[in-house]
Amino acid sequence: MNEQREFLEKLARYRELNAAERREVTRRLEDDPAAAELLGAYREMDERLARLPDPVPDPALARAFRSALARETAGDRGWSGWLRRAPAVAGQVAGVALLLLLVLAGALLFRDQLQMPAAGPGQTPTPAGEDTTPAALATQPAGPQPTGTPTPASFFPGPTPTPAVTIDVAAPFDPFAGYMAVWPEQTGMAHGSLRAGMKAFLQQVGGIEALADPAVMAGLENRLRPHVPVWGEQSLQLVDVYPGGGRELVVAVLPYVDIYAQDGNGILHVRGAGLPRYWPEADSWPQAVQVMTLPGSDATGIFITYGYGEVNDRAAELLVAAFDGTRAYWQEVWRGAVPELAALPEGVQPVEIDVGTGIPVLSLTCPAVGAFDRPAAGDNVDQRLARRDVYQWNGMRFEHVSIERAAPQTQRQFANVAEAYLRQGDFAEALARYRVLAAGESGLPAGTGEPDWQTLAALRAGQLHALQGETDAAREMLGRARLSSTQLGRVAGVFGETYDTSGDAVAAWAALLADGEMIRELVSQGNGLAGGAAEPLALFYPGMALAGALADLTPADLVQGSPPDVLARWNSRGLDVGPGRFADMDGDGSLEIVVAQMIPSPEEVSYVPVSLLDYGPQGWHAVSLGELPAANVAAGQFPGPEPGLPEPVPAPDGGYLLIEIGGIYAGWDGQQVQTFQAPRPGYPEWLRSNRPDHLCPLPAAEQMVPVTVPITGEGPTPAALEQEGLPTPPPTSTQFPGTALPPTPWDQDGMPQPSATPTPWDQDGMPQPNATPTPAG
Amino acid sequence: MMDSKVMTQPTSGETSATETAGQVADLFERYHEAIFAYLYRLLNEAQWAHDLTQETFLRLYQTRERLATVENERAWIYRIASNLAFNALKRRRRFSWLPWREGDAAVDPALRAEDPAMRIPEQAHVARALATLSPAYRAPLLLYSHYDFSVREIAEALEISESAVKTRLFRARQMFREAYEDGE
Repeated sequence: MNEQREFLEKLARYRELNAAERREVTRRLEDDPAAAELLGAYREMDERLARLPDPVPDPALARAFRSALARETAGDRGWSGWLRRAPAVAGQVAGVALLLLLVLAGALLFRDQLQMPAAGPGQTPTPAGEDTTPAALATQPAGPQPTGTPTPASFFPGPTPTPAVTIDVAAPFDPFAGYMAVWPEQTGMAHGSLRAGMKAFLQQVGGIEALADPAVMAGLENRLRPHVPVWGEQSLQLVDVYPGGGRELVVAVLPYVDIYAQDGNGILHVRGAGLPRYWPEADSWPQAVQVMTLPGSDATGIFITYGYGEVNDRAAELLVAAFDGTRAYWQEVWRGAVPELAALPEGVQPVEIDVGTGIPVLSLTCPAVGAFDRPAAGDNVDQRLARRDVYQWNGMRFEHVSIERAAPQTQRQFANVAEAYLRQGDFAEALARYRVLAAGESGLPAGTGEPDWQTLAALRAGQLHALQGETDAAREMLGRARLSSTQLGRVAGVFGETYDTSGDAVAAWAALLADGEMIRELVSQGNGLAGGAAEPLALFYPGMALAGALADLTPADLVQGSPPDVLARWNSRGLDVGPGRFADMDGDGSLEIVVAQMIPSPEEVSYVPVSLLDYGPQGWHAVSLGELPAANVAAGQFPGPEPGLPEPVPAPDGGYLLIEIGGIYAGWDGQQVQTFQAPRPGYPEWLRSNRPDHLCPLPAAEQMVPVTVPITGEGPTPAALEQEGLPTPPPTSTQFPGTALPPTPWDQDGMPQPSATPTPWDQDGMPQPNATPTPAG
Repeated sequence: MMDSKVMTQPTSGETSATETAGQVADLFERYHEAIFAYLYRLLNEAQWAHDLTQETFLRLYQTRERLATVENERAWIYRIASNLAFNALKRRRRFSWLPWREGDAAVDPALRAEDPAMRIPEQAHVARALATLSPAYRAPLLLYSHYDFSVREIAEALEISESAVKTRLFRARQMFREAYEDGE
């Protein structure tokens, strides 16, 4: 038997038999036709397998690798950049040869004279980086002088420059030219070039104090400005940062923010004061907003913001780095982030810094955003009220001291709160608010150019009544909405017509979702009718139709074998669903459903929203988790045979699961949607989503949860985390000193308080004092 | 696919950072497409294969100082890729989801539009049969028949003994043949 097995194994590797084995096999094949046939089959098999075509990787993979490798060799965090930017780097990355050339050229030009070591790949650049090799202004040998074109010395009156470095004498003096051009893909190289160029410039003009002359400072700005992406009023500042009385130069044009100092011997020192953590550094631009004394710590703080995003959809990451004059590095003593939603009627919300009393206080204001804003946000009612977080310096760090919330100030905000209740599954609260709004009893302004919020409220109220089987009330509200001549009236018409004939709310919702032309039109128009880029289908809330179809089911009914029944319910009502899963997503011990829907479009690409259906005290409700890439649909892969939705992973901050949708990990913790970015090399933590609208406010640095998890695949199980001794996440509803945090998310924006006096920050209720919501039915 | 290189021990001193970076860059250019295809055939998922291809070369870079002592670069790179793939598959199995549709569990993972083998029926048939093998058997068969590895190289790439490779190869051929014939 063994002999026969050995023989067959030899056949299986027939290609590399030695001489003795070959003789043996040949002999046996002559006597054994079956073995000969088997060998023939193996050869045929190998031919077929050899001809099997290879799938080809996305070219962005190679481009991003080359870029990352070049950055890594330049001492920056190339790998993290590689993984984070891989989808977006197409066409933007220089080749390896060019990059290596730049590295070598940079090294040759600057290394010997300035002795600037590049950070090794193992060095973590946050919270601060430092160039510890000083450049001695006074002791450097003089280099060749520029000739022909004007030299720096001829530009600037004041201190006579002491030329110390070799620069391109044939060109106008521009120490930043060339190397800065590799920004943003090669941020590390650009930053190294910036430092070298700054040193060259400072040596030319005679040191930092020469910048006190406005002409010299202007000369620096004129040379630097063309090479940086965003120039602000505070890009270059001559301020007293370090103890000792002298002034330092703060350069905030690329991450890091650098502080250039000159000691008594004329030696130049450079320290970096922190990188943005939440936004890609290549897409962020820093501003050093304020230098402040941090009492009790003998430290100086510098307040830095890292802007991120575009004109209408911006965010700011905020960092306070402290330097006590003795440490080698800056310390990060606080970090936060807020969106700057310029698209909102309320406009950009400012960050306040108050040092008037001697104790620095930082205040972040998060605007009231919701499903009907662009961008849309999560579903927690708490987040739909304007919120101000106050942090106060306590001698060691900025401590979170209070949270204040404001009442809705506009009909838009009022509708957002109502919608948030709906998406929490609290239909009664949502309906009450929508009826108030529909009746024009909110007492709030609508705002110029705003959608017709009363019609929207009537539509939603009608839909909610219909879902609850309250036919008369539904028809009354839908009829009111249908009278409107706005686009919302058109939407109500499509829903109402089907509801009138069928009396079936789910069928009516399905008819609405099937009107792809109208959906496309409304989404493309925007106008606040839909949620915008973050959730374009907010108005249509497609998941709720699925939830409505499950009215007589409970999670206990969702057992293995029941999915066909669930699918049949949806299909019979005209709802087109694709990949889906059952799982206990929120960790409450019962099953939820995660499912993708197909929302058709007259154009090639359709919408594929993914909803989580959760069962609450008032039945099933839908949570919008995101959208699958539309390309899947265009490629005809939906609702194809593949499983479609990826496996879930444990959330890093609690007992619920996340599922990857379009590159973002989204989950429902039972209260609100949570979104994360998966760990990447160089970023070993799960990070809150970098979508600005999901970060208001960002947890302060001390609240962040450092978790080391694999780069791909699932995150660690709680048990694994314990084994690794990783810290336990803090409770999400931490009671901060001096705050009046509500015990639940629900009791702070309750119904009208008759005696409430509206003030910007002390009220969170409905603003119509005497409004009495009409209950359902 | 036939590209392999036997390296000698370093003669002296340390390899410079530039040299090792250049070496990794060279290896990436030579192998990344093949590694992606290999991972794709193991995982049957393009995005996952992309991720692990990235990770393979990242690990290669992080351990680049060991390259100087590696005899067979190709086997070394495939070893990194194989380990990553097997670990990822193991982790995925920890989570159990209820099937969505009847027969979901039996969904043919080879039926993916991004797989060029799907364009030609005969090749689709081969890919489908290959996909039925568990990765432990699929890997040696792929390496032997598609990537032209020797038994010894496969042993290095999969970190198993040569006798284990022989056994798996034999069984993999049996399984593949059955699956292929069943699909006809």
